[in-house]
Amino acid sequence: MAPTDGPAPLSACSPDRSVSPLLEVDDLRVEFGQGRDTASVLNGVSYHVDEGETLAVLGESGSGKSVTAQTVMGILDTPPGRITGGAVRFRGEELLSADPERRRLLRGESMAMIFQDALSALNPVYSVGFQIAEQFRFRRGMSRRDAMVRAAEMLDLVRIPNAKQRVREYPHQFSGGMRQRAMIAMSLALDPELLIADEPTTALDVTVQAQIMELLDELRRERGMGLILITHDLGVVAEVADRIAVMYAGRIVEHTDAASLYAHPAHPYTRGLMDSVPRVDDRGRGGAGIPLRPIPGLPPSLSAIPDGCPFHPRCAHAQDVCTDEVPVLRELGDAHQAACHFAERFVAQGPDRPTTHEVVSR
Amino acid sequence: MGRYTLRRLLQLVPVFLGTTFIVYYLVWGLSDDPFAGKCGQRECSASYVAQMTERYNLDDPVIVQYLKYLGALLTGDFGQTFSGTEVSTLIATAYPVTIKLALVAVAIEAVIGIAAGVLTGLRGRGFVDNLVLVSTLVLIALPVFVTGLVLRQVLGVELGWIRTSVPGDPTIGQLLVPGFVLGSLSMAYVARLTRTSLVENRRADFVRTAIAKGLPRRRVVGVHMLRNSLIPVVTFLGYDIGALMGGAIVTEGVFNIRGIGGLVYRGIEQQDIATVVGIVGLLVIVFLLANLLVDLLYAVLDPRIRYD
Repeated sequence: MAPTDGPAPLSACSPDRSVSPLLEVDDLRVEFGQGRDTASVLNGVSYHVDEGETLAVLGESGSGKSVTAQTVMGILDTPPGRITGGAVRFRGEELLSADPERRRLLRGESMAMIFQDALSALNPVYSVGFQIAEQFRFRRGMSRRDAMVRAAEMLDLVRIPNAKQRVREYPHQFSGGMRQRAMIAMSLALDPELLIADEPTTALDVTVQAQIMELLDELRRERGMGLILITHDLGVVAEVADRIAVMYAGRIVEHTDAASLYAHPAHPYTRGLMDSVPRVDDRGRGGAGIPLRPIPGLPPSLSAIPDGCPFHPRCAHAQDVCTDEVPVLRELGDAHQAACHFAERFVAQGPDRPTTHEVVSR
Repeated sequence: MGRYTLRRLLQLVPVFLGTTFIVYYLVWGLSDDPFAGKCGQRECSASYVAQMTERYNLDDPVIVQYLKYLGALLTGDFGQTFSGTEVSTLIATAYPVTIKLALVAVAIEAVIGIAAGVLTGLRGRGFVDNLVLVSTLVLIALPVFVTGLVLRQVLGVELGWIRTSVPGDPTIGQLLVPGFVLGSLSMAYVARLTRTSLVENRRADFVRTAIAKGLPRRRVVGVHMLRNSLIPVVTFLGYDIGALMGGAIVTEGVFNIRGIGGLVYRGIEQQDIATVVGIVGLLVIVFLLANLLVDLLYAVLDPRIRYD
């Protein structure tokens, strides 16, 4: 479903734009470990997010989605992680070379992050209110009491009923959905311009997932925030994303606006992801349904990424050129980019099953 | 929490009855002749035997003896030793020394152990880390009497910094070295426990959240990392206080401290029933109460723990 409220989709990183985007990640490279066991986790990731826009970053576990986000936030554990190249610019300000105190002040204030598992991401021995109030106390210099009042207001904002009472409760006393709401409230406390949501709904059941996504989308719209939505769930992406970047083995392999991605997936990996979504209209023979169609094989080990296209061992369309040459992310026109030697052919083909997009986005 | 506390207090009753009875039975019921060796080389005189039999109700079956003893105990009468000293007087002079020694030991454990653990836990691998790991290993490997005798010899005899024998009513300063010896083993455990716990929490999700919130480094470490890491350490220290309150036979022996440990030891040697049963009963109560306090403290420190 095409977004109607976000700004028009822009190309990934056209260098000559006059206004710098809210966030720009440029050719980011990150490694983990030493010597022969070095894992190349990010191999030149570039994306950007504008104010008020939602960028979905899609990919399997280990594709580098979260590491990119942690590098942007400046919370990557180094060691074992090591940033070997690239740049992260926030409103034009280069962050990777900025001093740690400057980066700390940007966290919470300019960019905030929501984590996947709110139960472990919240400190179990402090009340939810205490943890939200901390930011008002130590970043805004508020008194303990005023900060607690503000914390209750934040809980109210994310529609937690009885916020005044619940502000004194502990994370384990909240349900999964309420915990994630509290997490959102915490991330919004200092009114950030960019929100990174790292698989915010993975740990939740389906009905709660929808509520949380709706809430995030609404808050983004109200506040004009940029939102980076990290997920592996195509269903979640379809409804809220303006643009989608698909990641594989530490690279972006396809990048375009949400509608084009569903209508003309250009990378076999993207097509595989779409195919592997189970569908209610697959009746099969005798209504027994057809088997799921997963992508064969496993993602490559990041310490031994195959030569050529990293996806070629799992790709049904692989040719000789795929094993020899790394396909670069290239423009296909219409702000659609893909890193596949045969991208044009796939775009022309459309999706394998024409109704995928409608089904996925309900 | 109130009902839980009450239930735990009620549990003290059967435990107290059970332990005192077993100790009573072991000391009295097992020996054929309670007067063997009581009067030096000679046999005890008939009048002495009659007097003691009367005082300890030795003509009754063991269970009746025990019940009579218990009855007296509940009215606050700890009984008398064979030589006629009130057991309560013995306890009153010995226990304050033991308590003082235990508190000094736990304080040393807590301060040095936690400091070493935090230092190594936050810094990670390096010289300090190795130094602490090796020295704690040494302390864990050495039996307490070795640590005690070596320190007494070196600090007391060779250097003359401390008195080799602690006076009857010692000051805190005089108990520092014995306290260190007594607490050394637990101190090593505290250091390692703190270190492990911190290392575990350093990469915890909630610490990453605290960093992502843009909190100052000191706040992240002091509030989010330490509080969570110290919960198991505080629990350990609490149980250790309970255990150390039971006296320390070896340490008291090495430094000639007149505490409760030595009293029990002499009581057992001399088969002095009233001393042994009275003190052991008291120690059981103290230990159980200390455990109860630790469990309640645990619920205060970690809101996820709920009794009831």
